[in-house]
Amino acid sequence: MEHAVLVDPAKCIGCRACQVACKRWNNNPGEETTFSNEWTNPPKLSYNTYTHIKFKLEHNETTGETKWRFFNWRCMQCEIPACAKACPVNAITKYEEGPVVIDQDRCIGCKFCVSECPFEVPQFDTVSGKVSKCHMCFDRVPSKEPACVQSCPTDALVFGTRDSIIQKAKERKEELDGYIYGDVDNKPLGGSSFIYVLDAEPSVYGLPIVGESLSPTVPVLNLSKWLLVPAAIGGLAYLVAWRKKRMNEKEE
Amino acid sequence: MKQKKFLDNFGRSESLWMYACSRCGECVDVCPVYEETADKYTAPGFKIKKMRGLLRARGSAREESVKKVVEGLYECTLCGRCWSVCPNNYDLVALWEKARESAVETGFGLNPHTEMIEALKAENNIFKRPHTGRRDWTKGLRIPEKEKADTVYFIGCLMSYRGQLKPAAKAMATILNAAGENWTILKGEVCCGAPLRFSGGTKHMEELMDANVKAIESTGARKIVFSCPGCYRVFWQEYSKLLGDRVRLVHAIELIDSYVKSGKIKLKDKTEERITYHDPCELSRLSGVIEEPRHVFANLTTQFVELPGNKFNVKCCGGGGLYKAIDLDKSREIAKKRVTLAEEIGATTLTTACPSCYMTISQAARLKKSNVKVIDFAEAIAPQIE
Amino acid sequence: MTGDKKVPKKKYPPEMNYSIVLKGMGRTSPIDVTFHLLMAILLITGLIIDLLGPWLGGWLSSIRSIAHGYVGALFVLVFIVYLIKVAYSKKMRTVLTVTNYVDFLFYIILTVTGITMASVNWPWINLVPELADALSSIAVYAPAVHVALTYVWIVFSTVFPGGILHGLASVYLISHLKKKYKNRRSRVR
Ligand code: HEM
Repeated sequence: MEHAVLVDPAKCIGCRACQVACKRWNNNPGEETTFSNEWTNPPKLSYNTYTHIKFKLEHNETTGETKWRFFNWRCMQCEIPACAKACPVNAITKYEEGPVVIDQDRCIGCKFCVSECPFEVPQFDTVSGKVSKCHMCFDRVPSKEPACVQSCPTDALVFGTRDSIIQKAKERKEELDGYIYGDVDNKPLGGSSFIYVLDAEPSVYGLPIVGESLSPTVPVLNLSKWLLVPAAIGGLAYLVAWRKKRMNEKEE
Repeated sequence: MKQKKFLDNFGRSESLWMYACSRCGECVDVCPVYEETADKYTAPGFKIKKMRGLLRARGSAREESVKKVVEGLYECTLCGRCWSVCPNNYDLVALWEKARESAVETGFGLNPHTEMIEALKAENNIFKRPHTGRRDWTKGLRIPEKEKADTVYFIGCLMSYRGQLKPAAKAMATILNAAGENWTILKGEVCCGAPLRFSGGTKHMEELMDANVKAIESTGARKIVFSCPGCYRVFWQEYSKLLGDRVRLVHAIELIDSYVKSGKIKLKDKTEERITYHDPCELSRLSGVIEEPRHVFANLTTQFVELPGNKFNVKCCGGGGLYKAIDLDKSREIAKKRVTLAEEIGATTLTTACPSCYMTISQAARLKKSNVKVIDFAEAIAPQIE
Repeated sequence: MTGDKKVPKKKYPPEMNYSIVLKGMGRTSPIDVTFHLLMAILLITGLIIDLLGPWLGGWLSSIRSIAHGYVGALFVLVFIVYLIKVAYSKKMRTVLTVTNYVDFLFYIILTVTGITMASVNWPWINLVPELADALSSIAVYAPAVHVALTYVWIVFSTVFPGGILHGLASVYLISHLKKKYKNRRSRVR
């Protein structure tokens, strides 16, 4: 049965427990980073960082108020994952329970998924030559909730069946007078298994506008190889005709 | 039968080559004719490009474009310099000959050439002179005409009909006599057929070949000597199939070299003449006779000088491939460059081993009023025999 | 330009086989040979990735990174040199056809999209923000264009006599002439 996670940035306090839990569950090493203007560390997703809290400081010039927005960011686990469709070696699978998982043994690091993902999630690693991303703890769900959800102290992340999560999202939307990103109000790539209920426009959080279906580049990528079929048939026919002509000439 | 289109005679090899040509352009810069004309249509690689276009057009090509290509095909000395640089090592000389053949077959043949083909059919020589006069040149010279002999001296059309070449033939006779050879010229000699290949009349070669083979076989000769590298090449390439391996084919230069080596002829003390030698394309590049003349010269003079652009990569004198019939002026310009080179290296005598090269270069030297004396190879040897 | 080059050992009528042609190409233009070789490797490894990927899976990892990635990077450099050579070589421009130039355009687009994909693992790309921006703006199209164009190119350059037909014809011709020339007459000494 399909499951989902509700993300409620309004409840997030930026404690980054989810980041730590994610690293620990996945045995991912820490990163050496340099000082940046992202307010947080590590500054962004990477091969070894599957989830990341974006820190955003808003300053209202007229009222003089400041406001922090903390935004949990990782793979959306789309219903129709562009990454999986673009992968030439079928290393990416959409699980029944919701996760979209990259098989590290199959990955060849071609980065087609990096290019095709509208959320710019998959991360390439020069050392291993492979791509990784959040896999919604496919090795825990559905019997256990994902590591990040378990560690969240404020219920900014909630795990459940997809139906129940959508129900919760709708209720919370009423409270916030907000927007449901991932289902209901919009369905990027067929709807995602991480569903946001936002207290502001998606663009405020830097979320892109993504269509419900795949961008045509993916089918082009997949289907172009069939051009070889008419080409091969044509080539064969030409060769046969050519041989025949030569044979006739010999007889003359 | 449906009407033949230009290049219809291209077989698998030629048609494939049109696409396989590596388009490196090496042949363009080395072509002696292109260097002179600077007209793209004379550049070997460009001709291939255009022929590919015509082949793809499958006969729907405009007549003018075919004509242009054919004209380009005849502006060529068939010297094979293009082949010598071709990385694919494709037989370009045969390609040009095949394309010319198609031009003649489809009625695009150029006039002097089609006329020459007719002359060959009618009089068995390229000059449209009576066949009966083929041995007139022997008058006043003691040239043996025997029924049976060990060695046949194959004269060729140029030597038979061109008075300027009489000294060369005479010198060759002296050398053969000095070596004590039992030799003869052929009573029934006709053109060897090489000009048919050059002009595109390859179809008519059989008749000529039959006549020559018959004449040679009746003498029982085991060796045939040539003064003309053109005849020589067509013999070892085509006649050898009919004559079999028992008949040895040698060019005069090879023969003289073997005489000198074996002591059959003895040369006087070396002179101090500054002699140089122009490698005929048909002999050096296309038949591989390169070292032999140099051996001989080493025994002849202390002052042999090498002409630049010689040996395998020799630059044509401009007289090959019937180019003279197309553009006499350009052909002479090319020949003049050879003479100029000889002057620059300080040679007093320029020898060559090909009647066609001799004619072309000596005319150029005369027009240039050059001091360089142009003679045939045999003429340089004969006076030095003890 | 005449006769300055080393005299190649050649015999008329010419023989034909792969080693003669390869040696001839090497003598004529090493840059051409490198260009052809690298391109053939890229095409073959690219096709292997796209066509056999579902079966070979992770096994292709090194093919992608070394045989297509590093060789691809080398190809970019060689291709630039090759283009400069063509641009400055009158003799090559005399013999090249429109199809050849269209082929070059295909290669240019293939290299640009290839570089776009590969630039993800170039940390230094951020030192040139303009380039990074330009490449990321076409990143979405890069895989599709790169792969689809490969097939379009294959069809195009076979139908019109371009690179692929040239290659096929060369292989066919050499095999054909290898047999045919075996019993040709050469001069007996
Ligand atoms: C269906 C066929 C092909 C596929 C699936 C394919 C796939 C790829 C991939 C995955 C990359 C990124 C490699 C990396 O980042 O290490 C790439 C790069 C590249 N590809 Fe292809 N490719 C194909 C055909 C071609 C062809 C025919 C060419 C030749 C013109 C070509 C030229 C390149 C180049 C120059 C690069 C850049 C490499 C670099 O800078 O590291 N590709 N290709």
